Amino acid sequence: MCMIVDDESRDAITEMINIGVGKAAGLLNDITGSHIQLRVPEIQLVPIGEIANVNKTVFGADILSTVIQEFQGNFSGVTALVFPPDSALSLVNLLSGDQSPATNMDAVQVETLKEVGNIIINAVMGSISNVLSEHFAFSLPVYYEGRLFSIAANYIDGEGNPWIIIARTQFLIEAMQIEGTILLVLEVGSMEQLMKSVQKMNG
Amino acid sequence: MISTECLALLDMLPSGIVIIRKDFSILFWNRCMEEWTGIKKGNILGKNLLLESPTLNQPSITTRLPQVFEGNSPVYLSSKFHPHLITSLLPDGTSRIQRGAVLPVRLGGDEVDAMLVIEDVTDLSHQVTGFQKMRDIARRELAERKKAEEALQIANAKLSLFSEITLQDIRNQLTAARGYNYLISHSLNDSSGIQSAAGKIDHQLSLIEKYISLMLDFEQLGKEPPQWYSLRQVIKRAMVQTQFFQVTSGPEIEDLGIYCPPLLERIFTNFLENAKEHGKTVTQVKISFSPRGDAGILTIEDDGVGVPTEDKEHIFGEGLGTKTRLTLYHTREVLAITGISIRETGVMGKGARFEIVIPKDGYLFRKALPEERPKEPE
Repeated sequence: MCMIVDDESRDAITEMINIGVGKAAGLLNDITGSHIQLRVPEIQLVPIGEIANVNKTVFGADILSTVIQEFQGNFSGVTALVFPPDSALSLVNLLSGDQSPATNMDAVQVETLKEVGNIIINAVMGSISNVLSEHFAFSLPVYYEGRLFSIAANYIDGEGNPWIIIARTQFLIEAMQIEGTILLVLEVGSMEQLMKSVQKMNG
Repeated sequence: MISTECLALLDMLPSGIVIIRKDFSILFWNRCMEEWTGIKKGNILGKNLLLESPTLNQPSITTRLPQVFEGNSPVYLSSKFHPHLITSLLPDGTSRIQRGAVLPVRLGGDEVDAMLVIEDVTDLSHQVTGFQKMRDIARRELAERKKAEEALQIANAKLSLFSEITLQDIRNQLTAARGYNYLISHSLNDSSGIQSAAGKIDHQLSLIEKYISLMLDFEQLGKEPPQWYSLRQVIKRAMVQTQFFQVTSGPEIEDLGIYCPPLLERIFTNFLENAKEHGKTVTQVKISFSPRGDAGILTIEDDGVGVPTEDKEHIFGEGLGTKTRLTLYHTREVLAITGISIRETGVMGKGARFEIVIPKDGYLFRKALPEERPKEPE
């Protein structure tokens, strides 16, 4: 079941995320010196309980590599950058110029992914914060490997079925395309708050 | 809000902690920072952190700091992208590897300041690097072992085939010897006839001896996996073995190693013997090497009469050669075990020219001691 969101609000959310992602791409270019393009082709809004139905291949996987930052403000939740582990490793190797044949991430690679996640999450949430004139306080990024539902469950308190904004991202680096997903897991009641802010901005 | 007690606590932490204002002036510099940089609090408070520490004054960091001062989000700085946030040398003269985070803090009032927390991850980084190296070595050794095992399997299959052929040759000689022996025992009465038959038996026994010697050579194939050979050493030994010293080789041969089954020396000995025997007018043999595409080409050429065009493939046939030593058929089969191929590309009248095509992972250049087995490239 997808939440009924009017086209204007959906466009506004997509635009805010796109601005943030564009900014993140610029920063990643500066840091790594390689040409990185970041795109968000579409966004979806679904209750967390139905996320596995959105993309069984990704969200149904046993293990996902995730960088998470909690945020608190007028509406609260967690923002996560989610990858299948192979993609996370490929991304880190491409960005850091390593050619590790490893199949598991080591501590330094985890750190690197945390910084990449921090850059993208800050840029996306910074964009939302600027456009909606909302203020959020963020935690430091945390790396987590596990099933998506258990990741979200760790960060969502209370009863109910919180909503998730899913933004599939494509990293285009050196002719390689790596897919990741930005998830905005909103606490119960926060989705309504976000929609109010978006509609207020849209006038 | 950070209290005075809290600042005192920050002073005791084993991480570097610096608090700066929006204009990057330093408000707090903890004891760990004093130890790491050798700069005392009194000498740095109030100064601009970006000017004092140019390693922090990078767009990849400075463009992200405004969001900290807006009170929004912490900035995470990994050791991969920013290994040296502040200049800090270890007792051995190397730079401390660091990772950090910049967090929004309020020391009082509405102003948001930024707290830079730096961790020393030198040991962790070295451990990870050490682990990566060990893992890469183990992976390489495993791949090498797998390759050797596969080659050994192929070698054993070829060994059976070679042995079968040679055993058949031995049987043939034995049958002939038995025939002569029968003649001696039953038919021949004159001593000259007996002597002639005995001479033939002796010749057959000598052939059998050579076949057995050849089989012993083949046995090496099944016993030892392929290994890296210094070509310079192989050529040198083949020259001594054949007593043929008119061999010239280019400087590229000096450090060349070839991954090959354990008959390479015999193969080179045969090349030189063939040049002596079949080349007729051969005065010298030239050996050279050059990389070409995904392979390396080792060329062995002489200035003899050469091989007729119609025989270029035929010379690698199973039935050709003296059969008492390695033939070109054996040479092609043995080299194929490690993916090496051979063909004759010379011009009749100008000399024979053998091109040995070695796959990219089957050769390397490495300065190696004469007896040292060169290792695979890292």
